[in-house]
Amino acid sequence: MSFELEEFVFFDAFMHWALVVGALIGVALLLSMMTAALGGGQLGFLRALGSLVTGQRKGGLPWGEVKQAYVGVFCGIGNALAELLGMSPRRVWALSMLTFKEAMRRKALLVFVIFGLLFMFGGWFLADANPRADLQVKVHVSFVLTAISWLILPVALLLSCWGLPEDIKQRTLHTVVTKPVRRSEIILGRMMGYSCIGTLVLTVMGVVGFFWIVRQVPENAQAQLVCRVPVYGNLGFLNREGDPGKGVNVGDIWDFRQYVEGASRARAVWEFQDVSPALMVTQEVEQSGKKVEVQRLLMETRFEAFRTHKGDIKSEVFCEMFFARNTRKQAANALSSCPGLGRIGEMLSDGDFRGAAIVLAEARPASSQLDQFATGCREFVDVVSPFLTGDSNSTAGVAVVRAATECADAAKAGNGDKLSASLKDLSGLLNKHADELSRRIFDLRVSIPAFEVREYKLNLLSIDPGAFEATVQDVETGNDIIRKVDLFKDIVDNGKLRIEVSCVDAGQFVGAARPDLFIRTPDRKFWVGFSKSILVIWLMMELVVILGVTAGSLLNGPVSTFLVLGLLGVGTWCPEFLRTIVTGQSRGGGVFESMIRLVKHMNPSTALDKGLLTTIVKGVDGAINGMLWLAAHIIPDFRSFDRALSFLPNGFDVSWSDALQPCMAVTLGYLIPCLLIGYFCLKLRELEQK
Amino acid sequence: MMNLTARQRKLFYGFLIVVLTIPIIWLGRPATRDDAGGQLAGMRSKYKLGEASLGEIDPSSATMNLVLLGMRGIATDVLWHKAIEHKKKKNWGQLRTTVKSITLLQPHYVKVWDFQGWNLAYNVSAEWDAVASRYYWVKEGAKFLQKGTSLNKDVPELPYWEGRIIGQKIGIADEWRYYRRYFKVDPDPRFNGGPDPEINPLGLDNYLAGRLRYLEANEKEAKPGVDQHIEARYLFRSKPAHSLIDFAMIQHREGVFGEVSKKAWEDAFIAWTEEFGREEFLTLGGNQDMRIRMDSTDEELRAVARQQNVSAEDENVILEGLRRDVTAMQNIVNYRYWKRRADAEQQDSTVEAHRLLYRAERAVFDENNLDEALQLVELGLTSYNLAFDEYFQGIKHDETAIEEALNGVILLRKIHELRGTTMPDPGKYGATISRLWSNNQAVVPELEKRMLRQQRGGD
Repeated sequence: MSFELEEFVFFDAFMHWALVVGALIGVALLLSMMTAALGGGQLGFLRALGSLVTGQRKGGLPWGEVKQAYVGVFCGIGNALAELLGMSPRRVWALSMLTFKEAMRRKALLVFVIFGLLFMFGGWFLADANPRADLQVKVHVSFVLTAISWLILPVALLLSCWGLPEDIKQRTLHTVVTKPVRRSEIILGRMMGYSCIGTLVLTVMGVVGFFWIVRQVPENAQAQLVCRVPVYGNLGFLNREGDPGKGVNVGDIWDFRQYVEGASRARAVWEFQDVSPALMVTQEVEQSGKKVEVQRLLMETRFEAFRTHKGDIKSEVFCEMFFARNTRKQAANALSSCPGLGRIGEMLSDGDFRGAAIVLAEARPASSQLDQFATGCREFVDVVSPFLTGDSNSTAGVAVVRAATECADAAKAGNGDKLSASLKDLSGLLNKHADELSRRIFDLRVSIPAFEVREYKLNLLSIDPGAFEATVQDVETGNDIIRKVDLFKDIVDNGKLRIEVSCVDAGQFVGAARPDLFIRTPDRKFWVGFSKSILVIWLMMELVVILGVTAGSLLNGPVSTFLVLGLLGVGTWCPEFLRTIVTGQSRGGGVFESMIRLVKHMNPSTALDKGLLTTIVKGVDGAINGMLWLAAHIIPDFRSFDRALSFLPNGFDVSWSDALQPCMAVTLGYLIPCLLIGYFCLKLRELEQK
Repeated sequence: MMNLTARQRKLFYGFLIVVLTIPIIWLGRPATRDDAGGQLAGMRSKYKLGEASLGEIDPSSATMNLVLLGMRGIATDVLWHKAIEHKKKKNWGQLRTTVKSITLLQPHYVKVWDFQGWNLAYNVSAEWDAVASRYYWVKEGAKFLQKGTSLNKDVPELPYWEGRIIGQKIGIADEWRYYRRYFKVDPDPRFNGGPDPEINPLGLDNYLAGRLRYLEANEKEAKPGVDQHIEARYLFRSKPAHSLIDFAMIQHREGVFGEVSKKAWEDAFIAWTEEFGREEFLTLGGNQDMRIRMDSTDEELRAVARQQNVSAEDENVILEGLRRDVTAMQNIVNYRYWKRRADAEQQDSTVEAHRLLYRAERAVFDENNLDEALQLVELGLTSYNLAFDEYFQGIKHDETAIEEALNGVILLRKIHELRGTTMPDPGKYGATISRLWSNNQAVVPELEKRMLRQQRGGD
């Protein structure tokens, strides 16, 4: 599978939620005030407005009544808050149980009949001669998760949308409201009651579904019933000259992967954070005829090949993987970020410490640039210190680090003279110890043997962290020596691991996207991921229940059903479409502009004739778009659930940060406003009305 | 009605329901062994609309259609969109499953089988980098069409398309060497070094297996009331015989000479002239009373004209028309060329010329034996000159024969280049070789490139 990973930033999401909820509360408050004003006098709000403008109070608005109405509004809000905060768990639970029993009476459990039928005959449709184990697992797991969600959602939707309206219609709600219960407790009790019945149904379906999968998946694919736990890195690209840039677009409609050109300096570069030996996996290998357990870093790849010529069709396109620690380049970047030292970057990268010394000696930083200088020098010290001080025990190295630190301190202190002196010192040291420094500060790169891309398959690379060797210069003699390199000690830099992937074959390309390379930590049991997927469905069901009960507190059964169904449909299939409209990315304009274009047979790229009509049409479309913008932000985005449910069928554990957290946030995000809306709606609703 | 009570109205409605039900039951009663059934059953049988008359009944397909209660059109649309999305996002396994679901919903919609069969065998397979993986998807396309054939027994297009995949796709794709080998020895370990029994149960060569599909297509097409909508009927009907020609041609490409290749060409000749050549077709004007053959002799045409019982003058007019029709038909399928070629390729001297040139190529590129290669190519060119003069001279536009001669000279030039010697004038090996070489210089660079590419394992 190719995941299009979307990062979920909780704080941003919360702020967005707070903004939308705040705006809604503001609008509601404004409407309440207006209603209060309208109710306050016989001639209504316009009269009030008129009296405000003219300043004539006599014969105008009865201010006392309006004031009273406003006080009423604020008192109502106060009462609502008090009611919401003072809800009794015991009463809520009692109402939940009542709702549960009512749902049972409405034969909600009949859904098991359809469920049973589906699972009895599901095998007919899924039986496939497809030999690939991962695909067999995918098909079966997808079927179970889809079937469960498609069965549970209509049940939750119908129960929650029809519950309250039916009770009001049958007047059975009177037996409840006449008891000492609060309206908020009725709403919450309903939500909880339907959740309980849904949870019961979902648990049974989940358990049956789990065993059905385990029984139904062919024997050769049973080993694939695991949950892989990936650790993803961030992806960047180097262009064919080796400079940071973009990968090549080879013409795929799906703009997911970027491609690196073969036999060039183009690379796909992943940077992983928090890499430590704890990520390794225990494996059994045969050593001298015996099976021994060893620790390995497992990496999984999913690259794609693109050929510009037929090439050698006997084998797949080859790629190579490098593990790199670019100390010298980082040091060069740090110093070159200082104002006036731009030239130093290339020199240091090439190991020309003497050239760098000349540039340093000539540097004359302006007083306004000292802060930037301090940052660059400090960064330089941080990068080179591990290689020049401590265990390395190098007198020259210690002196260089000290001089660079003095530069940073002087710049930080804003002392330009002292900085110039320190820079001269540093320059002298770089010049004097250029050879030693170039032997100590270097870019270390090790690689594993080139391997075939093996498209669309499970490709595991088992990496022995201690098995690398690299040719480096001896610090004392400067001769080339072969040195053992440990991945965690020598390559991983403060938990950061840089991996570069290149294409070996000239004229061919290797495509990569962020999820195409990841560190595979020990797998989790299948039931763990399955339970999480069921939890996702539960959260989705909860959201439907919340929406259904809220809609039911104001509208009658059929209208509530259509409303929630509409929200579900739009939230599942249309968010992207809505986004393109409200952000103005969709071509052809809004509703009325499109209609004009249709009638006039104008294509979307042709501009409309300038004039009054166009201005009016665009204005009306703009207003509609504004409303759509609000709708787009209010309608729940059910795609989070779909995305979360795609993890398990593809053999991945359901990630907390990428999948569960967004789903929980969406559900919780609707719970509070819906509870408020439901409470007010029920409070204001005339329960005698059928 | 307005004056009726509620009970009376209900009774009236009940009566109406019963009255309307009677003709429905009568019209729709099912056929039994002794009874032809109602009008609807009769029409279903007459127009072959019943599931059983269309092909095998797939219980899962029938269940799915029943469950959807007539909503299958919408469901198919949704699935088709999903299939496109899966293809875009390269979810091949899901694409295959979705396509299968579409066919479960619309098992008798031939275009679905055509489009998706091609999609799997040609488009999806091309997306994979490993040859074995590509072959897997080519097979998937063929299997998909096979399933379509079993569900649509009177659709000649389906076995035809399957034959095209098995014959042409496997036989002339860039990876043809691998595909042809895989067709007999599947790379999938499940088949233990044998062929995939689903598409090659008899373990045949791909062209021979393709011929069986084409024969099946011809058999279906010959049924009354059945038409194919792919190409001119002569071309459609020629495919089984042409498969044998393709099979014979590939023998030389793979270095198989002697009795085997001779026999292959003999079979091809017989199939082309006696099987296909003696098949009766309507005249181009579609006259139902006159049937002519590709290989009709003048006497046979005269006999057909005579059967029309017209005056001698009119008979001659008809005869002229028939002659024109035969020539036109032959031109459509290139009948004369293939007849002559199949005849020529059976001859010992032609086979030997091919063998010598092939061996010379191998001596250069595989064995690096330049001395032997030079000897072989010189002998080969001389033999080819003779064979060409004797058999190919009269065949117009025989690019294959010309290319082989040019390839021989290109090989000769390469050998001399590698030896550091100068290539003699091609006229040394015969006037025809010399003429072909000098007249076709424009295509030489491309042929040279192709030869080198082939030797690098390109195709």
